[in-house]
Amino acid sequence: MRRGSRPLLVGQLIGLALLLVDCKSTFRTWVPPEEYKITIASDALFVRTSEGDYVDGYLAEYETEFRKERMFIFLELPHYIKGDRLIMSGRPAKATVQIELGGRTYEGVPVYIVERASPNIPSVPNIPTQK
Amino acid sequence: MATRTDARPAWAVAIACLGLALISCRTGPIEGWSGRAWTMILTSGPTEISLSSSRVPGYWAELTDANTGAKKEIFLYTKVRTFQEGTWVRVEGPYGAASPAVFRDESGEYSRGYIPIYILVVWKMERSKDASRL
Repeated sequence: MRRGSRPLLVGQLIGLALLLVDCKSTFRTWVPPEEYKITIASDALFVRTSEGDYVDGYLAEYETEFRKERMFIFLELPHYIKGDRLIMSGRPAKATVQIELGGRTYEGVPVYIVERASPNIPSVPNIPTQK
Repeated sequence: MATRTDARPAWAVAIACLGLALISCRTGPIEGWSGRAWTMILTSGPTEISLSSSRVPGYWAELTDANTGAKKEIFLYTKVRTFQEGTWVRVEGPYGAASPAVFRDESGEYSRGYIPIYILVVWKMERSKDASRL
């Protein structure tokens, strides 16, 4: 082998190794938080996720494309009550949860990590007065 | 035997150095620490925040800078729950910035790791008679 080509080969091998590590990596790329208009459908729950973590939060419902979807929202301070309507900004976690509620079992409910949440208070429509 | 006696002062010095080193390790960083006390007004009753998934009890307080008049929000970490909102208190303890999970009782807003907040670990806390002393 020629002397000059050795560093190039080493560099290529390191690059290949890094590429393989990246492929097998469990780290996920950063996902920007998305905003959802949700309704809390349960009291505060303490559940175990599919990843084995124990988390506080609520089962929540939201509508997308005229379909009702469910999510489990993870909050470190669960001070909301069932029926509260929130504007929630969060991102999906890798985990899912199984929730038994009202005699029904919801399986594979995706967990969302809440970054911000505030009450969703619809503003009164501005109706012009009749002249 | 003579060698053992000679080695004694060296051992004493070594032990003293080790002791001093251990003391310096335990004191921690100087930055952000202060021996002075502050007077501030409590803007909440007993509440809690969450720091690294642990519930931290305390109060929200507002500190006004004596020179600029700027107001700074501080969370006072204490297990004491006898103070009420609007009370002027004199507190002492170390402080630092952190990004906890916070729930605002007054607005119902929740945020997690969004805004850095000053947290003061209360060593001493007492009602302040003179609110003007900042």
